Amino acid sequence: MINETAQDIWRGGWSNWIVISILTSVLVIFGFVLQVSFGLNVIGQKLTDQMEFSIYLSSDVDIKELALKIGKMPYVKRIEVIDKDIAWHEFKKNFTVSEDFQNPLPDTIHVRVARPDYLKSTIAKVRKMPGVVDINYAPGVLGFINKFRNFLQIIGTGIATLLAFVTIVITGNTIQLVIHSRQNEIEVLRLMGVDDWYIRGPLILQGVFYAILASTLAIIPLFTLHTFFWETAQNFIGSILPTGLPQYCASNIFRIYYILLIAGIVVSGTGCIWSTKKYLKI
Amino acid sequence: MFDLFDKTCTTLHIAYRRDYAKQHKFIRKLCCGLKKMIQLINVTKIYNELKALDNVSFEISQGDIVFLVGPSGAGKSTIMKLLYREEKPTSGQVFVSSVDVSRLPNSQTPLLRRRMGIVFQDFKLLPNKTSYENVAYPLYAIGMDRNEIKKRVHGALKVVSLTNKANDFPKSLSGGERQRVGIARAIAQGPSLLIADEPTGNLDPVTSMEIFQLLERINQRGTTVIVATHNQQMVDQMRKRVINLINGRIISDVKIGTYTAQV
Repeated sequence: MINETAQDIWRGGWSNWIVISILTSVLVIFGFVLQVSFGLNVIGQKLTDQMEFSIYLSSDVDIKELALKIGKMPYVKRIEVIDKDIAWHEFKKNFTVSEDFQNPLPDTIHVRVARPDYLKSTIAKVRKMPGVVDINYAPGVLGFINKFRNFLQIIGTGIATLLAFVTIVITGNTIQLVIHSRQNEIEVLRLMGVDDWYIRGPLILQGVFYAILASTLAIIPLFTLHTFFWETAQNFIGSILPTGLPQYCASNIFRIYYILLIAGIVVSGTGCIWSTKKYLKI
Repeated sequence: MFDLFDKTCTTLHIAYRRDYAKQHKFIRKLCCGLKKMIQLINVTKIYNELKALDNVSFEISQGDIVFLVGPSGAGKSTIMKLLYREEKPTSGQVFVSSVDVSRLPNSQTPLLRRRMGIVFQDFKLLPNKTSYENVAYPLYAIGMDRNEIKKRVHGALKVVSLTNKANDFPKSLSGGERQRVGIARAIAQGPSLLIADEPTGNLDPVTSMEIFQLLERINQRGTTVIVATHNQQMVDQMRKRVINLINGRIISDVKIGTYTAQV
């Protein structure tokens, strides 16, 4: 049966590559959505466990006095005062800024509480204090991440579904071509009493071959994207990412590969089965 | 003394073998006369309001050779298709070896077809396979043992006298040789029934005669043979049972008949 499958693939010619390239595109999109959703889930989970928040102050407040006051609050474990002039000086070290440009940064206090449970109540108390302009904490970022992830999932799933449908039709047409070119052979086989599965089997296996090749090709850009994603994440939010997280997530690229393989088999297998049901009379 | 004994033994052995062969042939003929290989009972087949067969009934005993004759559209090929269950009758029953083919579940159809060999007008040989491979291919596909395949393919090619062309591709064979490969493929599974649908339709008269003689030889080995043809000359020369069809109806069924005498 393997020989028959290989011959059928050979007979498919260029239409094989059309199926494989479209199936690869479907799997790349599907894999991208999976990968980003998975990455955002992990980051979101880690951010939820964060116990820190930042307080941005107006310029008329005595930062040291306020820091002492916050430091004496229950459950506050540690505070760090960042003077706006020092922060501006640090900023100018990294980025080129015109000398005329006024310092836009506020005075900031980083606060760490003893347990995540105390985070919200402490923030609520701090927010009421005079001179507090804004407070930035992980759950706020988490909300944005969740919204972005949902948006990506809807758009990605929509595009992947549409392309999956196109792949099913194209796979079906390719199999139809193979059935047409093997018409004589199939007729001989079925009239000589060869079992149904021996005739259909190679055509279904052809779909599995498409899935294996397409999922393997799809994992290459996804792996590159994965590396880029974590490098970017390290640059922007590296301070809040736990150590070893990218390595932990790298192991999940294999899980994504298996999911893509199964998805590919489902999509191309559906095309093959649909085509054999429609065009193969046994 | 020993010479005389040896000669006597040899003579007796030859006599015994002759007698055994006669007895064997008789028993086979007797059995053939007793068993029905094919039975059509009041079969009607309608394609899109067109009646291809109209209340057709006949029987063919095991070991017989029968010619189905008639003009194009008479219903010969429809009968053949009903026998190998390519089609189902609109009404009536079709029995092959006592099995009601019209009620046979789809899953059983391959098993039915393995018990019969089919010969096509256009040979249906695979151009990328040699004669040997063409005959062996269906046997591989049904999962037969390799040694058994080798034995059967050589045997089948020997019956059709093509052992010397086993490694030739169809394009290098003549029309008659191609049809002989087709017949070898049909008999390789050792079927009890051989169905030939216009086997000489694409062949010249001399080659057609060879093919008809080959089919007769296969019949003499015990295989029931049913041939759909409109080759008048051959049918007349064979002097076998002829069933004549016109417009889907049997107009004559003669045990030793000729094509011309019937039409």
